[in-house]
Amino acid sequence: MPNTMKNQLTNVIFNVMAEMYFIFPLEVDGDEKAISPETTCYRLTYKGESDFFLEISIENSLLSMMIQNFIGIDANDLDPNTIAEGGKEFVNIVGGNFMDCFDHPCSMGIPEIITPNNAIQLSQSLEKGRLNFENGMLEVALVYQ
Amino acid sequence: MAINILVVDDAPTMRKIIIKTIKISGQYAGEIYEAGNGIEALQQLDEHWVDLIITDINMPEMDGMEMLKRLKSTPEFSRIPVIAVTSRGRKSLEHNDEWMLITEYLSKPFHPEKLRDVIFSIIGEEYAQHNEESTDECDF
Repeated sequence: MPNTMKNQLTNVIFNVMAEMYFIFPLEVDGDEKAISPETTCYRLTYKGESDFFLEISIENSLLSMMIQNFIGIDANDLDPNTIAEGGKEFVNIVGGNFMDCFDHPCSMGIPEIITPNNAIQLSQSLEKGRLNFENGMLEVALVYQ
Repeated sequence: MAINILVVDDAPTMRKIIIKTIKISGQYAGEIYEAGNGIEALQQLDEHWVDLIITDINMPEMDGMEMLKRLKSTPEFSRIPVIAVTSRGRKSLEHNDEWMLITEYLSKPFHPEKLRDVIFSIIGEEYAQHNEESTDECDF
C-alpha cells in the first residue's frame, strides 16, 4: 500500500474510532503478532478509473467493544449478528471518509462480511496497515484488482 | 408541537444512535419512523406523514440520492426537509444534481450535539420542548 494512502487511511481510522467509538490506538504497525483467528473481515469495493477494494479485519474482542461503545449497551447484551453488522457501519464510515481523500472520482459499494479465508492473502512484498488497541487488533489492506 | 421524523439508514446501529440523539436533544418528537433503504422509506411515507427526513446516502436496494429524486418528484413529499447523514464527503456528492435536494448535510462521524444543532436549524427552536422521556434511558 503506497505510504501516502496508508497514512491517509490510518488517519481516517484514528478519527472514526475516536469520534464515534471512543477508542484510541495503542500503536501502529507494532510487533509482528499475528491477528487472532477470532476475527470478522469486511470488504468494501471502489469503482472508478481502476477498481479496488478495501479489506478490514477486526478482532472480535475489539469489535464487541466498538459496538458496545457506539450503542451504549453492554456487549454481553448484544447478539453476535448485531455486532458483526455494526462493524459494517464502521467500514462504511471509514470507506466514505477515505474516499474523500482520493484525487479521482469513484463510487463506493456497500460493505460486506467475508470469511477470513476469502480475505486477500497479502504477499511479503505488500504492506498491511495494523492498528493495535487495548481490546484487540485491526488490520487493513487496500488491493487493486 | 410534535415533529414526526423518518430515519433512513441501512445500519440498525446508526438508526438507533440517531433516534437516541433525537430523544435526548430536547426536541419534542412525535412519531419516529425507521427505514433500512429508500424503498422502505417511500413505503413509510405512503403510510405516515413526516415533518423531517434524516437519511444516509449509501444504502442497498435504493440509495439516498435515488430516494430523494423520487421524493422531490412527488408534490406531497417535495417540501419535506431532508438531512443527509453520510460518510461520503461533500465533494463526492456536490456534483450530483440531487445534491440540491438536500436541506442540510452532516458527515459521519458526527457528534450527537451537531445533529441536534442541524435539526434545530431546520425545524426551529420554537418547536423545541423539554423531552418527557426519562434521562435514565438515554445514556450515551
